[in-house]
Amino acid sequence: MPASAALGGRRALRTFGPWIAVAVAVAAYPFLVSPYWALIGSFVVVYAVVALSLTVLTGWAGAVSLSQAAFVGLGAFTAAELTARHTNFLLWIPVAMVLSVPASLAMGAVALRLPGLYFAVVTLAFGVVAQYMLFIPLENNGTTQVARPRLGAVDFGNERYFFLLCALAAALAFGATLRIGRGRTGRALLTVRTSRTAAEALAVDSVRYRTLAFVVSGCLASGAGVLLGTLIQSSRSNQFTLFASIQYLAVTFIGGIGSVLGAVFAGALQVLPTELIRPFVEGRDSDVLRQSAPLLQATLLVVVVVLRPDGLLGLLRSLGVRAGWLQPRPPREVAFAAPSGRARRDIGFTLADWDIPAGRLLAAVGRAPGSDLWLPGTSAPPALEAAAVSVRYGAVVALDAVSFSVQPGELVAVIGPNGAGKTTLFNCCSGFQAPQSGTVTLRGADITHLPAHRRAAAGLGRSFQTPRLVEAMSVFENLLVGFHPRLAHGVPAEVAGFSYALAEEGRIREQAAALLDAVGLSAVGGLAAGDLPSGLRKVVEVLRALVPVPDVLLLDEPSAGLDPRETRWLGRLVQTVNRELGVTVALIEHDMSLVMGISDYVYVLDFGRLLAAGTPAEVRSDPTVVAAYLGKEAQPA
Amino acid sequence: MELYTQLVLNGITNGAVYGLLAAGFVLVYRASRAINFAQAGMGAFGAYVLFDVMRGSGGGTGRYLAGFALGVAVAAAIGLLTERLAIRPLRRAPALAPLIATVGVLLLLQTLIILRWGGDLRSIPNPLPRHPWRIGRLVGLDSVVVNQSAVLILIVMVTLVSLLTLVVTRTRWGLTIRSISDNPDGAAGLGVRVGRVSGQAWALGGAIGAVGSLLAASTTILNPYALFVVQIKALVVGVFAGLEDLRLCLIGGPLLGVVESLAGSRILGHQIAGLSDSVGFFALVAVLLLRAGTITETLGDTRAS
Amino acid sequence: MSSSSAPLLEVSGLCSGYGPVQVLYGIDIEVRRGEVVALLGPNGAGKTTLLRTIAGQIPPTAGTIAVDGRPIGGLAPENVVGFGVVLVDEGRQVFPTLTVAENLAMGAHRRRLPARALSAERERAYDLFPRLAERRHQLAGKLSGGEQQMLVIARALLAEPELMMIDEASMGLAPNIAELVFETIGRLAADGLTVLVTEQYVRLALEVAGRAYVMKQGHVDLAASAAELQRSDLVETSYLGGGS
Repeated sequence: MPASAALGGRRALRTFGPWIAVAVAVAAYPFLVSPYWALIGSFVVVYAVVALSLTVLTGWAGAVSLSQAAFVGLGAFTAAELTARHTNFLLWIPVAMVLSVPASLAMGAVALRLPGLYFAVVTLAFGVVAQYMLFIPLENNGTTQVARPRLGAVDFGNERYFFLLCALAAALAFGATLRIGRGRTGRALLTVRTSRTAAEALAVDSVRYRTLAFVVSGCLASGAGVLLGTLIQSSRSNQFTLFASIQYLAVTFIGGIGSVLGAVFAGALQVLPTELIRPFVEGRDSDVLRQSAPLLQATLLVVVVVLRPDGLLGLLRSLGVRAGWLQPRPPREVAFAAPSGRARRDIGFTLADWDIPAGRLLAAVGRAPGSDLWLPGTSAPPALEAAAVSVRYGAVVALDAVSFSVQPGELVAVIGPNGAGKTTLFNCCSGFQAPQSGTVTLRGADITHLPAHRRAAAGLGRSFQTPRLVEAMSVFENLLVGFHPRLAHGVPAEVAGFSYALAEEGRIREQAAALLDAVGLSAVGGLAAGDLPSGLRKVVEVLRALVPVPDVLLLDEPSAGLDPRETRWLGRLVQTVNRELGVTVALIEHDMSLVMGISDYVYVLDFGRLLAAGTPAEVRSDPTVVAAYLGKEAQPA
Repeated sequence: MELYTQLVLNGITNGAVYGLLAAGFVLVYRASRAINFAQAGMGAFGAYVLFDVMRGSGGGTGRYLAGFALGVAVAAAIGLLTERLAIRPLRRAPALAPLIATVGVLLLLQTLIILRWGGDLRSIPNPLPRHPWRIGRLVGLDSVVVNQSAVLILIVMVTLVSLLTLVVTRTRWGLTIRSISDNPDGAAGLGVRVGRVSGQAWALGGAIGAVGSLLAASTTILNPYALFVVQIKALVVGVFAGLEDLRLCLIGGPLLGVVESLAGSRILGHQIAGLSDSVGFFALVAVLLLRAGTITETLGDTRAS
Repeated sequence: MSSSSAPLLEVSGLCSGYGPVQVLYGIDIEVRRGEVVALLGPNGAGKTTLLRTIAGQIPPTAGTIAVDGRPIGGLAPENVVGFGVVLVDEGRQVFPTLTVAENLAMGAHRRRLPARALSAERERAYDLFPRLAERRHQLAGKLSGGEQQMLVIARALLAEPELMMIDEASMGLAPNIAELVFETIGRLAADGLTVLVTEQYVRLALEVAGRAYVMKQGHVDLAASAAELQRSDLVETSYLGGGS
C-alpha cells in the first residue's frame, strides 16, 4: 500500500521530524554548556544505555540481574587493558562485547534451569566472582588507566566531543534495540517471555531467543562499560560492586520503563541527584553528597515496587502506553484505530453469528501445505498418530499405552472426564511431555524425539486451555507471531533493515490483516490482547495457531470460557478451517454439543486409558461412556 | 597440621555470624516466601545504635547489655516495619517483587547509616572477653589459639538457633509458621491471620540476625560498606539450608567459614586471588543447579486433563 | 432435619471471576441447616469458583452471600471462617511437612483451645477416622490420596464448622477410595453436619445429597431433589448434550 509522493513526504516529516529535532538538540547541547556539564551529560547518556541493557533483560527475558555492574565493569577493564596495549579505540567496544558473550551465554543457560528468584540469587554469585577474581586482581596488577582516544584530528579528551561520541554510540544502541524489538524478533521474544510453551508451539525456538536476550543485554552493558571507563579515565573495582548493580536496577525500575525517554530518565536519576545537592553541601561531609543519589533511588525503588509489583510492563500498560521499543507497533499503513482509555474498557464486541462466505478464509490464508498430498481413496499415512504412548509420574499412571490416530482431513474429538489424560496426550504429541514409551508420527515421519518447536515448524499446530497471548501486544501483532516459521530473515537483517526483510514483514502483515478481515474481526485488530474479554482472547489464540496453516492442529478445550454464541461461532470456524483449508484437526472438548456436531470421529479417555472410539453417535450411546462421565459402575477396561 | 587446624577453627568461629544471620533469614522466608535482602542491614542498624549507646564510655557491662537489647529491639522493629510496608502488600505479586523491595530496603538502610554515622570504620567499646585461649595445648598443637569472644559468639549462635528450632517445632506459634510456610492460603482458610504472624516472624528473624551482627561488630569493627558482602554470605548459607532447615544453618555457617578460610590459604602451593571471597558462591551455584530439578518450573506448564 | 426460617447459606446474583475473565454469571443457591447439597456440572462450569468466592478467596464482582442472614461477601478468608464456613479446597491441601496430629491441631486454630481440650477433640476425630489414628505421627505429605482426603475433612471438622464446603472430593482418587470418602461424608451428614459438595461424578454425589444444582458455563442449569435427578436423565442430557 504505497502512498502517493506528497502524502509520503508529509508522513516522513511526521515520523522523522521529532527525531531530527531531538538530534539537533543533542548535538547542540555540549556547545551550549560548560565542559563540566557536557561531562555530566555523557554520564547520563552512558547510564541510559546501562538502563537499556537491564530493561532488555527484564522485558525480553523476564529475568532480573543483580550483577549488571559486572558487565559494565568488564567493559571498563577492557578499556583499561586495551589502553595499555595501545589498541585502536574503535576496537574497544567490539572486543568488550565479544568478551561479554560467554558470560551472557552462561547466565542464559542458568536462567533456563532456575526460576526467576533463584536466578537473581545466582547473578549475585556472578557479580561477586567477577569482582574478586577478575576486577580486583586486575586492578592490583595495575590495569587501571584508561586514555581518552584521539581519532584523526579529533581529541576526545575534550568533554564536548566525547559527549557527541557517547550520544552517537547510545543512538546506535537504542536504534538497534528498537529495530529488534519492533519486528519478528521482538514479537518472538515477548511470546517466549509470556509462555515458553506457547512460543514453542508456534515454532519459536525459545532457548535461542531467550539466549539472544541475554547476549544483547550483556553486549549493551559491556559497551556502556567501555564508554564509562573512558569517561572517568580509570577502571576501579569499587565502582562495579553489588552496590552499583543495585543502583542500576533501582533506577531502571523507577525510570527505564521501556521507552527511550524512560531510559534517559533512568540515566539522569543515576547522576543528577548528586549534582543538584552539590552546591548545598560544598565543603561539608562528602558522605552526604555521595549518599544523596542512592538514598533517593532506594526510597523510590521501594515505593515503586510496592505500588506496582507486576513490574515495568505492568506499569506501562496501566498508563495506557504501549511501550515504544520493547513492543511492536503496527505501522501506520495498516489502519487499526486503537480506541483509547474509556472506550477500551467498555468493549462490547461480540461475535456475530457466523456468516462468512465460503472461500473467504481460503482466499486470505491459503491451504494447508500437506493437504495437497491427500487424495480420497489413496492410502496416505495418518496425519498424526500416537502409538501406545505411556506416561507415568512415579506411581501415578497418566497415560497407559494410549493409541490414537487422525486421518488427513479428519476432524477428531478427544473427550473424557477431568483427569483422564487428554491434555497429557496432546502434550506428548506436541513435544511438551516425553512419554516413557510409545511413538508419535506426523504424516508418517517419526517425531517422537523432535523438540517442540521443530514439530511446530513441521506443521503441527497447537492451542492451549488457557490463552497465552502476549497481553501487551495488539491482536494483530499476536497473530503475526504465528507467521514466525514462514519468515527467513534473521536478526542482523532486521537491524540493518535489508529490503528483503522489510518485504517479508510487509507481506505477512497483509496476510494477517486479510485473515482478520475474513473472519470479521478487523475492529479488534488494534486492541491490546490484554484488553480483550475472555471469549475473544480464546478465539484470537485459536486464530494465531491457524495463521501458519498447519497440517495438523491440536486444540485444547477451545470452547472453555466461551458463551454459547461464541462456542457456535468457534465451531463454525473450526469446521471451515477443516473443510476449506484442509487442516486436520484434533480437539479436546467438554462441550458435547460442539463435539457431536462437528466431529468425524471421537476418542474417549478415562483414567489414562482409551475407553471407547467411534463416530459421535456410537460414542454418545455407548453405555460405558455414559457410565464413565456420570460415575456409574464402570468396568475398568 | 597446625596451620590447618587454626584455619578451621578460625573458619568455624567466623561462620557463627553467618549462621545467625541465615537463621533469621530462613525464618523470614518460611513465614512469607520472601528473600529478605535487608537482613544484614537490620542487624547493622542495630549495631550502630549500640555504638551510640557505648560511644565514649568505658565499656561497662550494664551499659553494654542495655545497648545490646536496644539494638536488637531496633532491628526487630525495622523487620516488622519492612514486612508491613514492603512485603504484605506484595503477597500476591510475583516472587521477585519482595526481593527487589528488600534490596531497596538494604540500600536505604546503608545510606541512612552512612548519613547518620559517616562512612568511617568504628569500634564499639565493650566488656566482651578478649583473650585468646591456647586450646591447641590440649592436643599438643601449641600455637593454635582461639579467641574467647569468638567462642562466645559460637555458643550464642548454637544456643539461639537451637532455641529457635525448638520454638518452630514445638510451640503453637511455630506450628502456625510452619503451616503458613506449607500453604498460606490453606492456613488463611483455617483462620490464621497470615499477615500478622508473618510480621512477628520478621521481627524475630531480624532480632536473631541482629544478635549476630552486634556481636560481630563488638568484636571486630563497624563497617557500613561491608553490609552487602555479609548479607550475601548469609544468603549463601540460607540457600544451602534449602531456605527451610534451621539446623542446616547451624552447620552451614561454620562450614562456609571454614571453606572460606581454607580457600584463602595456600592451596596446592599458591594462593588464588579472590578465591576465599568467591568460593561460597561457587558452592551456591553448584547447590542450586544440582537441586534445579526439584525447584524448576518444567517446560510443559500444563495441567493434566 | 429441621430447617430454620433463614437458610444457613444464601447466595444471590453472584458474579465473580479471575481478573478480566468472568466465570460466574449470577448464581442463586441456598443451603439449609442440616442439608447436604450437591453442585454438579462439567469441568469449567464454575463450581470451584463458586466455592472459592463464598470462602473469600475470590472477591465477588456482583451479588450477595449471606450466612444466617449476615452478609459475608467480600470478606477475607480468615474472616469468613469466623462465620463457621469452612472450605475443603480441591487437591487435598494438607500441610505436607506437618504430621497428621499437627494438621488437625491447625484445624482448631481459630478456636484457641487449651491443650487438653485440643487432645480431646483430636481423639474424637481419630474415632471417626481410624486410618488417621494409625498414622497420627506421620507426615501428611506421605499419606495416600484417600488418607489425605480424610485428613482435610477431619481437619475442617476440628474448626467446628456450621457449613462445610467440599470441592471435588473424588478428584484423582481411585473409584473405591472415592466411594469411601463419600461414605464418610454421608456419615457426618447423618450426624447433623451441613455440607455443600461439588462433584464431577453425579452418582457419588447423589448418594449423599438431598438436593442438587447442576451448573453449566457459569450459571445454574438445573435445580432439583436428588431423587428426581436419579430417576430422570436430566443430568445426562445436561452433561452430554443431545437434548436441546
